[in-house]
Amino acid sequence: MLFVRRFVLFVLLLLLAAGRGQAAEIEQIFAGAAPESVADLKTMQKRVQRITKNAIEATVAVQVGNAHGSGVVVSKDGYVLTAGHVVGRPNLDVLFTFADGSTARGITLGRISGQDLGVIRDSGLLKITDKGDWVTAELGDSSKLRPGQWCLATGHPNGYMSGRRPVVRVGRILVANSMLIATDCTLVGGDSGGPLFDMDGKIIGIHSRIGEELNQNMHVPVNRFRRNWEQLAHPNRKRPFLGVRGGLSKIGADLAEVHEGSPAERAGLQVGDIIIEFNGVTIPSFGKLAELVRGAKPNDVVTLHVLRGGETDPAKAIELQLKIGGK
Amino acid sequence: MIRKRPHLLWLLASMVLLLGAVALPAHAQKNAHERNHASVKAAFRDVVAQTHKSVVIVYSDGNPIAMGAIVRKDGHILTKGSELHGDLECLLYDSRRLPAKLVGYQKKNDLALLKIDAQNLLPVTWAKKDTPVGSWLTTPGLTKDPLAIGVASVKPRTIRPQSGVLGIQFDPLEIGSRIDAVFPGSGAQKAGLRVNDIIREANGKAIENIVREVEGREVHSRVSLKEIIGGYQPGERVHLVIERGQQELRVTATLGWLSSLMQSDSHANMDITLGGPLSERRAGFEKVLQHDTILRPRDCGGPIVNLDGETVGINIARAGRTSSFAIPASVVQAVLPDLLSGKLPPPDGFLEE
Repeated sequence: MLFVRRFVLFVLLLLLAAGRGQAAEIEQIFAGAAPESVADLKTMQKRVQRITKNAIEATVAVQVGNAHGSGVVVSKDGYVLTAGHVVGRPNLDVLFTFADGSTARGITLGRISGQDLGVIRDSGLLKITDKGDWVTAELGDSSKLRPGQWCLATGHPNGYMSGRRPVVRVGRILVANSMLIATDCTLVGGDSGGPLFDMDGKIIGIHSRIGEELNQNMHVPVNRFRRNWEQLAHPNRKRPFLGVRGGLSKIGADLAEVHEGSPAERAGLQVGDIIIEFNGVTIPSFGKLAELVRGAKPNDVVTLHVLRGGETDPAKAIELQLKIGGK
Repeated sequence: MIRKRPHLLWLLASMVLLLGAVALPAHAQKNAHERNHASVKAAFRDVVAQTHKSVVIVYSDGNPIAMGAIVRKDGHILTKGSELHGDLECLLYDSRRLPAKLVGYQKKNDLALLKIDAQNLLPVTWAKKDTPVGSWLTTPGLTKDPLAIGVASVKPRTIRPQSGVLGIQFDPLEIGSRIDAVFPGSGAQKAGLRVNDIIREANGKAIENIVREVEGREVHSRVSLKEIIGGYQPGERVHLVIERGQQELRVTATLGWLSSLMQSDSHANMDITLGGPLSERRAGFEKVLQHDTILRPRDCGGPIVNLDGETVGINIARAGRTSSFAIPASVVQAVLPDLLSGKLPPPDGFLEE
């Protein structure tokens, strides 16, 4: 009897261990490993089916004029992420169609789009203006994505079709950096603006464009929406700027261009200057300077420490006052 | 939403740049991370261990053109009808290659029934339950590894039929059915139709020139040809009798898609130009289960199975960059008795080229 009890206990422990092992394993698979058995596939399938329901219900078809795209509702008050090229310009009428075929009205807000130094920017924001209780999806974190990680795409390929709910695709991340996610979740026209989810059902990207190959499906990383939220949500509000273009210095923010008539020129900044301090904050690179300017308000007056004429000693930096511009 | 062609080209051009900068250094690694990599497919081996024995490759005049699903152990095989022409054979998983006879065809779902002379084959096991969206779906081939994998994308739905296009133009000011233009890439061009050919017959019906009076003026039209062809879908064949100089020729042309003949900026056009080839017959189905498996047109016609190895449908079309279609098991099972009993014989001349 004791033996049996011990045996049962042993089996139970074994089962528990196996269960734990499996849970850890499935997280490993979602994080980028390949499944190895039908049991793994069934566990993946269960998860995909679980996150699919909310993913589909939060995905909307978007119509702006004659243009059709997709989007995803991210807040109870009706903010909808989409691609920049779906937005067009601010304050246009938008018709949203939900998975069940019901519709709501809204407007376009801001977009960040265009090409700059080979990088394509394509984020856009919409808002549902009708009253309603919207199903939303949660924003994830796109900074920690890795090649091989599993993901799920929804959207309206070829535009909204009555009787067809948002279309699900499952794939893996092939490239991920701060500007771009590429996956093998196949996309086509009409998917633009639709969401890419991780296996927790959180949004990690927004569909943007495709290449000729079936594994060239590009998404805007969701962190770009977070970072530019103010600009997207308030397209008419003036944005802070200096009027300079940065170089590649490793000791601060060096200036490759100072635009004529800009706040930077008025403050006396010159091409070749290296900004090493902004209101007491050390500037290690141009990226940091850009971040601090984005956080400032037009007409703020800031103090800069600048190395000029090849000077490298921070003690010999000159001090300038600069009034942040607005555009 | 990307609509304008120049805009699209611009995007593509800039994307090549991006890819060059971002993806290429990781190229060797990238393949290993794809969903369709062999390491992922290997996990599906147990799923197809039995079902690959129920699959055949259908050959047409010596070329592989479709897959097929064994539905009776006496050698009855379902496949995609519109791909069939000429002399048919089936290649089995055990390497036997046997002549096949077309014994039935249902146009509504493009399902054809073949018969080979064989015994004790392993028929597919039909799934009894519906397939939830997000389910893994496996397309078995003849080997121990699956041919392709994907997931169910949408609940089954009806796909409306489209009208097929021959790809010729008549002179609107002229009486009669003389061809005035042949569109490049059209079924008409592939069938060898030429400008100045006169079409006399289509599918056994004479083409008549119809003269109507509209507001006191005579208006000529070739309505009867349009009526005959309009009843057929892209991917279906029409048999024409044409007059070329002193000769009378018989020609078979496959109807195509209007969208593929036009430099249009439509979404349908993106589907055609970006991604692999599509099945010609990819519309007009009573019900399809859409999935995201990447198939070639010749990979259609065979079974698609769930993780329990049960057949949930018959792959019927590569439909677009993001989609493949399968006829659900319930629809196939409803039509199968009529195909087996001879109630749905193939139309005369169905396999003619």
